[in-house]
Amino acid sequence: MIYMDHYRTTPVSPEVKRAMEPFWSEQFYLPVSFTRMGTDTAEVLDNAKARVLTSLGLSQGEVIFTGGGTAANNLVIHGLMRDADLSQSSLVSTQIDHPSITTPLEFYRKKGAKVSLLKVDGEGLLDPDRLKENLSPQTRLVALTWVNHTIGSVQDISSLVKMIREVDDKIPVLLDATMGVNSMDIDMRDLGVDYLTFSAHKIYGPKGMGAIVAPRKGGLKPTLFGAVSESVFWPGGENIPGIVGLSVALEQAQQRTDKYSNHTLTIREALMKALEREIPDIVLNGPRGEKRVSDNVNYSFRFIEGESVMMFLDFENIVVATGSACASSDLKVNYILSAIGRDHEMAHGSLRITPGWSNSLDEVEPLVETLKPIVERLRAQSTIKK
Amino acid sequence: MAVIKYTDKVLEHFKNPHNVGELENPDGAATVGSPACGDQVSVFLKVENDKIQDISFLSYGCASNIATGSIVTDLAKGLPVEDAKKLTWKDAVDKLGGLPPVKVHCSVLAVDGLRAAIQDYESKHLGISHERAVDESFLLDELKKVIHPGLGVNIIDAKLVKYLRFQGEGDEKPGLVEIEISLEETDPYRHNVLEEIHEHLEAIPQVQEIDAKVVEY
Repeated sequence: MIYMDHYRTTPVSPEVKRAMEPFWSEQFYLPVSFTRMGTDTAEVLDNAKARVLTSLGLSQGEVIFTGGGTAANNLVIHGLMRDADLSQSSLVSTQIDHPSITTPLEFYRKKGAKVSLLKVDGEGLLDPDRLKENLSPQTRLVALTWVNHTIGSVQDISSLVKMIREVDDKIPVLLDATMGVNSMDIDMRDLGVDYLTFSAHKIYGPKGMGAIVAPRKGGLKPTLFGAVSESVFWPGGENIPGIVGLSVALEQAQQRTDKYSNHTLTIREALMKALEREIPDIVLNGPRGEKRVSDNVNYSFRFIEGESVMMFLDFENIVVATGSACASSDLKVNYILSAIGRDHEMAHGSLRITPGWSNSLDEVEPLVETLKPIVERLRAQSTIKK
Repeated sequence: MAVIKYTDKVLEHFKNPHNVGELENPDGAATVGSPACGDQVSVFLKVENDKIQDISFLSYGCASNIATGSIVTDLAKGLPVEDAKKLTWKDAVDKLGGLPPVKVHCSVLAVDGLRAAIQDYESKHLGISHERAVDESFLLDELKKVIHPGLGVNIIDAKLVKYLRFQGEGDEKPGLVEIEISLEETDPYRHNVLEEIHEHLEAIPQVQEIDAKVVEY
C-alpha cells in the first residue's frame, strides 16, 4: 500500500505507543492528591506538561489538554467570547482557515459579532496590510492557521504577528500550528502569539487529543463545566495515556523537524516533477518553493472529478484525498480552492497527496504510473472535453 | 456518522461502465447537471420504430454518477420510448442494490438526462414542444428532484418546503425565488439539502436570485 494521506491522519509512532502503554491498565489511576498512586500520576502529568512547554521553547506557561485540535480552537474562541458584548466585538481570520476556526466564528457572526474572514491571494497567502486594515479597537481575536491543511501554504506568521503587535499589543492571537508541527521548528518565545493549538493525530500521536499552549495566563473563560480537574477549561477525568502520547509525539516531532522536512521535500519535489511531466492539464494549488510546506502536494486535474480518481487509486491500494464535493458529506465545493480562485470544476477535480515518514522516493513512480491511465480513462468518458 | 460505502454492483458499473461514449448523429441528446455542481451527464439516443435502439452516456462525476449512467442506459436500451420515460431514479437505485443516501441525487440526475434526451428526440423528430412557463408549479417540479438523503423522499413530498414564491416579469424583483425550508440545526443533511436546492434552482435561466430561509417548524 502507498499511504499518502498524512494530512488526514498519521499512525501512532512506536515510541509514542510505548510511552502510552503503562497508562491503560497498569498505572491507570487519576492524579488524586495525597495518595501514592495519585501523586505518581500527577507527576506523569506534570512531566507531560513540561515536555510540551520545552518542546515549544518555553520554560513556563499554561498547557490545556483537550479532546483534539477542533476542541482546542473552539475552547479558545468560545473562552474569549463568553462574556463579550457581541455587538462591540470584531473577530478576524481568513477565508482559508480550518473549519474549527471559521465555523465558530460564523456562529458568532449570526449572534451579532462582526466577523472578517479575510481574502488571501491566489497562492493562499495573507497580505499583512489587509490584516492591518481589518484591526480595530474592537478586535477581540485574530485567529490564524500557520500551514493550510489543503494547499500547504505557509503564512509568514512572525511578520503578521509583529504587525498586529504594532497596532495593538492587547489583541489576543490564536495560532493553529497543527500542520506545521512536523516540519517547522517552533519557538514560542519569538512567535508572540497568545494561544497556540495543535492536534496529536497529525503528528504521529493518538487520536482525540489536542492542546492549547499559552505563554502567559490570558483572558480565557471556562466554557465546559464539571468536576474540576487538572484544568478548569477541560473538566472531568484526565486522559492520561492521551496526554502522555501527545507530549511525546510533540517532543519527537520537534526534535526532528529538519530530518522530516528534508525527507518529505525530496518526495514532494519528485512527485510534482513526475506529475507535471506525465499528466497534461493539471494545475498546482498553493505556492511553489519555500512558501509551500514540505509535505503537501495538491493539484487540480482538469475535466474530471476527484472522487472517481481517489476510488480508482484506492482499488490499487493507493490512499490520497480529494477536494471534490462529491466525496464530502455536505456536497459543498471545497471553500479553500474557491478562495484561491479555482472554479468549481477545478475544485472538484483536485487531489491532495501528503507524504510522511512512511513514504519513500521509490513510491513516487508507481503512484504516478498508476494515476496516469486513471486520469486518461476518466477524461475519455467525461462530458467535459479539452 | 454512517459509513458511506458503495454496493458491489455500483463498483462493478463504476469500474466497467456500459454504454460509455458518444453516438454519431443521435436522434436525441441532452446534457444535464453542471461541473459547478460536481456532476454532469450527457445522454445520446438512437430511436427506431419508437424504440430506443441504441443509447450511450458520458459522465463528469463520482462513482455513483458513472454507475447510475451505466445502469440507466442499460435499463432504457431496447425499451419503447414511452416506457423509457417512465423509468425512475428508484428503478436505477434498486437495480444497483442501493446507493448511499448522499448519492441518491446522482440517480436523479441520470434519469433526468435520459428524460431530457427523449424530450430532445421528441421535439426534433415529432415536433412535440416541452417548453413550460417558469412559475411556482414549475419550480415545485424541479424541487421534487431534491431528495432528502435521510428521508429518501423528495423535499416537496416530505413537506419540507413551507413557502415558495417566484417573481416573474412585471413583479417587483423578476427572477427572485423566495423559499422557506424546514430543516433542524442538527439535521446532518442540512447543508446537503440546501446545496441541492441552490444547484437545481440556479440551473434555471429565469432564476436570478435565491433567497432561501431555513426554518425549524
